[in-house]
Amino acid sequence: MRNSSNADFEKAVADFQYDVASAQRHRDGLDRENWARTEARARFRDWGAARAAGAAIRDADLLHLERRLADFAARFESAGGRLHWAPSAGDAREALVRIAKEAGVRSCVRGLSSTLEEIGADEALGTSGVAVRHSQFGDMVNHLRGGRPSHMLHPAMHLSREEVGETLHAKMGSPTTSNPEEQVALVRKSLRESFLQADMGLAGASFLLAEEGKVALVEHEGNLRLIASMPRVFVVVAGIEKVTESVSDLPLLLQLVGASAGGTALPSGVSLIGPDTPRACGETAVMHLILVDNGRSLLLADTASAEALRCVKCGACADICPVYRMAGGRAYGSVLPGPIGAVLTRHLMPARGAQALPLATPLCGACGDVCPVGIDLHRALVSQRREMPPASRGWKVNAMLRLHERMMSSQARYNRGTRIVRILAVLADLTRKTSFNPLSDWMRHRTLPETPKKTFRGWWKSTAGATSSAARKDKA
Amino acid sequence: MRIALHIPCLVDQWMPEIGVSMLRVLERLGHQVSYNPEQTCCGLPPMDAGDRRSAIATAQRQLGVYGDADAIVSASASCAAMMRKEYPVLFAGTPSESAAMALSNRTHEFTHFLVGILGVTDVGARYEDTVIVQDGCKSRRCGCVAGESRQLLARVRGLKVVEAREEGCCGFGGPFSLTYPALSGAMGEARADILLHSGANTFVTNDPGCLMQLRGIMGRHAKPLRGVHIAEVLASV
Amino acid sequence: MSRKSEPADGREIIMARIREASKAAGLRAATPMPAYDGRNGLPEPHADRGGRISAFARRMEELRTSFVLCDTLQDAAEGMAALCERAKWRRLGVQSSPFVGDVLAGLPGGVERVTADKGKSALGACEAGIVECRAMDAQTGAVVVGAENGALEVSACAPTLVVFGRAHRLAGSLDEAIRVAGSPGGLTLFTGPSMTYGAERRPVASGHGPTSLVIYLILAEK
Repeated sequence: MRNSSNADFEKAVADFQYDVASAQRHRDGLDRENWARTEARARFRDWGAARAAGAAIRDADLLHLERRLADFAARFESAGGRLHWAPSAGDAREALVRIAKEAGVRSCVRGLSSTLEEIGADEALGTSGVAVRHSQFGDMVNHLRGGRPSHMLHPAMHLSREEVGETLHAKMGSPTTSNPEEQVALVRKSLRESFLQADMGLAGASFLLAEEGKVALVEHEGNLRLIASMPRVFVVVAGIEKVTESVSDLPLLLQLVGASAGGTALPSGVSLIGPDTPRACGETAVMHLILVDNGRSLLLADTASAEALRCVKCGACADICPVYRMAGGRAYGSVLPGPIGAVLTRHLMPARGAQALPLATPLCGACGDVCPVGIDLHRALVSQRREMPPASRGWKVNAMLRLHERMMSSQARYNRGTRIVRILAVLADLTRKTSFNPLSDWMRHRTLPETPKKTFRGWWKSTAGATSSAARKDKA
Repeated sequence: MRIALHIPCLVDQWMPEIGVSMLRVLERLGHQVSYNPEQTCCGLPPMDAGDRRSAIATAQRQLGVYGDADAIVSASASCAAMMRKEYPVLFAGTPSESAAMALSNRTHEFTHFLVGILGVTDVGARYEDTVIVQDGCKSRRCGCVAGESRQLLARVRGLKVVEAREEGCCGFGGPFSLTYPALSGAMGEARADILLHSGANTFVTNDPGCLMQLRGIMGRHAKPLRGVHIAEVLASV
Repeated sequence: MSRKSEPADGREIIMARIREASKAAGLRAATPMPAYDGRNGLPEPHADRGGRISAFARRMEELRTSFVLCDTLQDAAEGMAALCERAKWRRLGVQSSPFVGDVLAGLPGGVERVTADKGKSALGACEAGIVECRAMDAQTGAVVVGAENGALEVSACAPTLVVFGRAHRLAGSLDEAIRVAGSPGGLTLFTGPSMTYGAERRPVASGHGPTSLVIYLILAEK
């Protein structure tokens, strides 16, 4: 009996594929983006060198994390910012609720951020009586439906235009339309007042600039700029790994993100906001930053997986992944699906999301190949597998591993094992359709190879028994 | 150059013709080739499964098996990647570290050895067929970054090479195919479908795992493609 | 136990954990920085102004951004007045800077200029926003707008954003543009109008930010 979350994942994949139109839309969306990314990467002088430079910048940030955070804190606070350090998700929630209470916040408008999901921002604010509106298009639609996201940047990509139209009509009372342009216009109109009237703006951050004490907000839609500039309270929630040295690192990082997130030269909107950013709309504005650890420092200690913290959340790894292609994002059960999610979810959000994620990959390595900051996701995924309890592999794999180790430990055992395997292969073929056969699942999709008369060893031995080529030529 | 063969367990037991073909090609090129039957497994299956202790125990045996050969040539991109890229990390800080480094530096995947080390693309082969290349995903992790397979196949007389509309993984993944048999099978089907529509009669690969997976999947099709290891094509005269 | 969350508490916990982690294993030696020319991934930036202007014009077309090249500030002011007339704008959000004041000098009568201090609702009702930029990048087409004098709020709210800049601040790379922009209290980089990935992940050419972007580039230095 297979570990249930492995079986769950396979079932989720089968269910996703069953809706043929949806699966095709998914593939089309991925292909469009990946094609744009290939074009964007080709415009670089030397993509390999650019991503190596990106890797070096982010690596240095992680190596000097304590210093970077201290610098950031000093600048941010001396500019009048209010900094909150949250060792756990619970601490972050507490800080968020306290900020809202102290400022008398009743309404909040927020951006798309996996960190906000990670800490449970919506629930915490909801319980405090704060009305929260999501403003990023896909995130908002998903939130209205109450469904899980299917991509870190495009949470509602699994929905058809008809489904989006129905949702907007049912939840926002807008006229029903399945035209994507009209839908965006409706959401824009609906959110406009929220931006102008909300007490609090809430967002994640793409980067924290240590030298300048500012936050970099990267977007396409323009909602983050409004969230940062309109409400009288602006709160940013950011993981500690987001800190980077200074604005002079941004040009390259932004070019890498632009190419890898949307296949563009740069994301269409980047704002650098600090506590002393001039605000001219009359009210005194205050800026808070909640710095979240919640397992990131632990990940820092794992040599093989620490580089996952370089992540700039571009989504390229998910989009290239053959498993993600087949499974769709919601099968992963995490707000961070795909390869980087498989590494990070277990550390940051262990209660949510399939624990089996690091096993659900043939380790083709395509993810690491496209990562703009050179994360060796292959190595990180294998390393995560080491951390998982043996039971999660399923009894069949564990049995195979025991037998395998024994068989490979000496030539004698190997030869004996070879003979046994050949007998088992015959039996397996005879019993392929029965439930006695533990490999019946595996065999449903494949024919078994034919058993050769001699092994390579056997052949080598019989053509000379020696290792000399000349001797073999004589015999041949 | 003294060459030692690395014959993965999969090849030894199920596809020995791959080993025989490799040997033929290397000897045709005038090299002394040895094989030590003491070798068993490079340790990739337990490594991929996450059983590091078992991976080290199995890999440990490999370290002493190749003597002082100048080069160890492997029939498998996956195994070569394990030995080249993972051994140094696996054995770092252990007493076997220098033996592991020495082994890893001398190990080469077969096509990379021919093109990158020997500098040879024409091995005097003839093979009449229309083929498509399906190299193992691990090729990128064992030094194959210059399209070595295609360079070699381009010089095979009588051979036509067609391209798929896109690259992709066969879905084998070792332990992955046991933990997620349906998903692995579905990925294999998707890949087989692309190969079947390429206009080729045969698919050629540098990885025995891919070969076994795709042959198995093809076996359930009415008009399957044949599958061969690139060594078999190169050995043919 | 009721826990009064003091910032120092959480800070010390996190910093101690990071120190632990760095000691335990962590990244011993960081990835070396490759020999790389500047912090710029794109091919060689143009050194000469003519090359930059052509490159920038090309990018503006690719980004569906209107681009108007003017010899003098006077020409720009005339262009602005004509645009306002054509678009029938009655209410403009404006950055309260001398430069913006100058380019708006020729506006037709009856057009209201709303500065940020008039409040969010007033700004929110404007049909277009007028700001100046501190720098531009010829390679990516990024336009660097500051936050001072209401530029942040005006540019955030504007359905159509009109940006005025001088050609000597057109940089050859993003790196240079950010340096030329200096260190004001805040910056926004606009690279084309806002866009949204709508239903089925299809790009839609509008969003919460400016749906249209217009750039006036003035050749004269004063």
